[in-house]
Amino acid sequence: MKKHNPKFKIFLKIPSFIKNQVMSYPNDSLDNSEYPMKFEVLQKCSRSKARLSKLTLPHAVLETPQFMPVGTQGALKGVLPSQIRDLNCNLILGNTYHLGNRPGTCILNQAGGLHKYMNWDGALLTDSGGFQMVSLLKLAKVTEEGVSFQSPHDDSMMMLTPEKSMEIQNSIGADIIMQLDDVVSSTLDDQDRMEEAMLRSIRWLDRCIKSHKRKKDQNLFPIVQGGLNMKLREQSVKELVKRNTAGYAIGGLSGGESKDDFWRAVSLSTDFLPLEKPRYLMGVGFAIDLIVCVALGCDFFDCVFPTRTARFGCALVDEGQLNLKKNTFSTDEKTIDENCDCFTCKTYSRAFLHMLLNSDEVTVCQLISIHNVAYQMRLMRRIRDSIRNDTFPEFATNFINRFYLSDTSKKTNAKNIPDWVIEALKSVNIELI
Amino acid sequence: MGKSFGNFIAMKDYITYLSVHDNSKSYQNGFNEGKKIAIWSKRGKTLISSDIFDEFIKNVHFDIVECPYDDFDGSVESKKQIRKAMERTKSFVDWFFGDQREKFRNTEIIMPLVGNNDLENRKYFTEHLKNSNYKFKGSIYHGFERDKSSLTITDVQKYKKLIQIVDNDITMDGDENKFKIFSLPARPDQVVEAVELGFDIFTGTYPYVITKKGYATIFEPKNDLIKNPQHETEDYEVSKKRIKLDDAESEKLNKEDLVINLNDKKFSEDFGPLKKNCTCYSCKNFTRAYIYHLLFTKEISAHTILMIHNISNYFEFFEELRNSIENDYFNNFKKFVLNQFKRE
Repeated sequence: MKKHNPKFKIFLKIPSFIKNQVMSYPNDSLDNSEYPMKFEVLQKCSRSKARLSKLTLPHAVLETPQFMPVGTQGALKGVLPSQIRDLNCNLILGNTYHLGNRPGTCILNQAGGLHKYMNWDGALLTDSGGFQMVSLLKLAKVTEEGVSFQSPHDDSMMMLTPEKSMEIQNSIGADIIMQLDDVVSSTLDDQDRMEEAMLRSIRWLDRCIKSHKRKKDQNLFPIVQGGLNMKLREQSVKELVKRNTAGYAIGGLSGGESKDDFWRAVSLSTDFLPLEKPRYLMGVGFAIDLIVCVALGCDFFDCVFPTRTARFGCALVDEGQLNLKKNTFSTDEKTIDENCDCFTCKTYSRAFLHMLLNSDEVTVCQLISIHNVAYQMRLMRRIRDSIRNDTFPEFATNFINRFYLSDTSKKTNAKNIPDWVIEALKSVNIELI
Repeated sequence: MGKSFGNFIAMKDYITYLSVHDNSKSYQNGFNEGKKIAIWSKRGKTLISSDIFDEFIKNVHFDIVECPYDDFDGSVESKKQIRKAMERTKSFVDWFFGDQREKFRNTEIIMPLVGNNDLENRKYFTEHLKNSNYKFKGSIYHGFERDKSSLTITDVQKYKKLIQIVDNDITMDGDENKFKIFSLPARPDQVVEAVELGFDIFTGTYPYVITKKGYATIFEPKNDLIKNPQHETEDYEVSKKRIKLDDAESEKLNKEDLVINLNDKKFSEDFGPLKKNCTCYSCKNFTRAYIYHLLFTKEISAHTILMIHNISNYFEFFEELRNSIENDYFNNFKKFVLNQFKRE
């Protein structure tokens, strides 16, 4: 929105149809920015690659490292927008593939974008719809033009091109949008296909940049690919950095590959990505993974895990998960987590939630979702505070030790910390043993 | 004595009420044995006897408890069947209102009034209560026919005479301070009719039953003009509501129940609130289009949002109902409500 400059006597009148598209920023600081985003590293960990930063988006200002809950279809599994706000969460993810189908761009346009449609005034991030290709691969066909696949909802054929993905994401109106990438499973052994996908993703990135119609409102992130092939990944990063974008996503991981390969691929990506721009690691949400990847230099994350596991009655705690369906909880009068101050933990006991799991699934799913999102928010806040005080290595060490030592399913008394965790943190100067 | 249920569900400032059956679901009649009745849960049937029930309410404290009973939620042909159910109810009543009464001083036990649609059996029952001289502050009528799909009572007026006769029988010595509970979900027009017959407390499951189907209620809970006792509600401009819809199917739904079905595709592009001028949280924050989307994509937020609206609407209606009695315009209010549901 242009400010009236008193020096000139000419008033600039903004036509209403543009007004409907342009978002009003909650703060002026984005007015003169190159992108509708600002990223400022506030503090660096003196040992690892972790950093504390401030991220300013059109709809929200937040600190990173941060976690984004996933509201796939324009809703967060039973948690209403004002409840999300109450959890100190102001950035969530929506899924382009699903939203493009239902409700579709026509209705989203009529509504004025997803923010208005779902009544969420915080920041939104949308993925491109590309990930669904991996999960629906048996029905999908990838060509240079795009991806065609059969909608599982009504069996119709859908073609997703970079241009179409941009069109849908422009309609949705998220603060950050993803390029359409040629996603290939990280466990795929075919190096030729992996290379083809990586190079095609770059060509698709350029098509996305060209067809992105709302550069002043929405930040387009490219996605680093290359699977577990370090050479390809390095090539991917170097090409992406040549394009002028506000930030980067690290993709093609969290698809069932070994953790050993996973962390190396993440670390290589962050080694070559510019320090002054945010790094979004896709598909990571387990506490241990979050801590390790923060140490490796990632800034924000998304995962369906917290909200999905809530549906099955599992509540997140530092030691892992509590499966509240188990009978041991039927008489447990404690709250889920005595350190948590979410609505669920302030009000209800585990026994009560156990009872609800047998009767009112809607309410209990909502209650556990609220707790799980609160847990993730609190975890990230603890991580940020430790970076702020330069005690991140100690925080990581304590958390990881406690997590694995409390795992009573293992037989030995020796530390059960997986090798990959030890090696990953060692690579950034954090010694766990 | 026992642990408070109110504390367990984090509602310690509320009055807790234990009902025998979940009237938001339709359950199977019968399947009782001897002096036990069948109650139904996800796991199937459980038989409850007096002492099992006794044990339960001793250990878990509720402020108000329904005495177990046996009746049918539809009309029954066989007098013998009704008699059997009535006898079974008697055995529970004898237990809880007889010698055991002293045990439950902190809990108000509600007297069940059974006998289905058979006046003779109803009178057997009330005779027994009179002769046994049982003391109770509240009673609940069972045995009314309910509609299988909407789960509400089919017709309040059908039971008018029966209710008046039984009421007469159980009121002793001018003891007017007894309350009557209406056990089935009821639409606002049915509530008003029941209030006229002296009912005081209603089950709040009507909004829930509506929500489960994806419906939202759109009746008007109040209207300022009718507060004037001089105002004649024959003046149709004010009180008559005719909500016009496009197709015959929803016209029918709308006429009978004053609800909208948010599963209907026609709402997918309707960006208005559930009900115009409604001040509830849902209507202030969400559109019909979005709620349609949530229902269509099977998101549970849909139910939360609909429930908030339906409860708000229902409770606003009850508040206004009480106002109308207190401020002497109940007749106007009754006509206002009945007109909406196209009843005379």
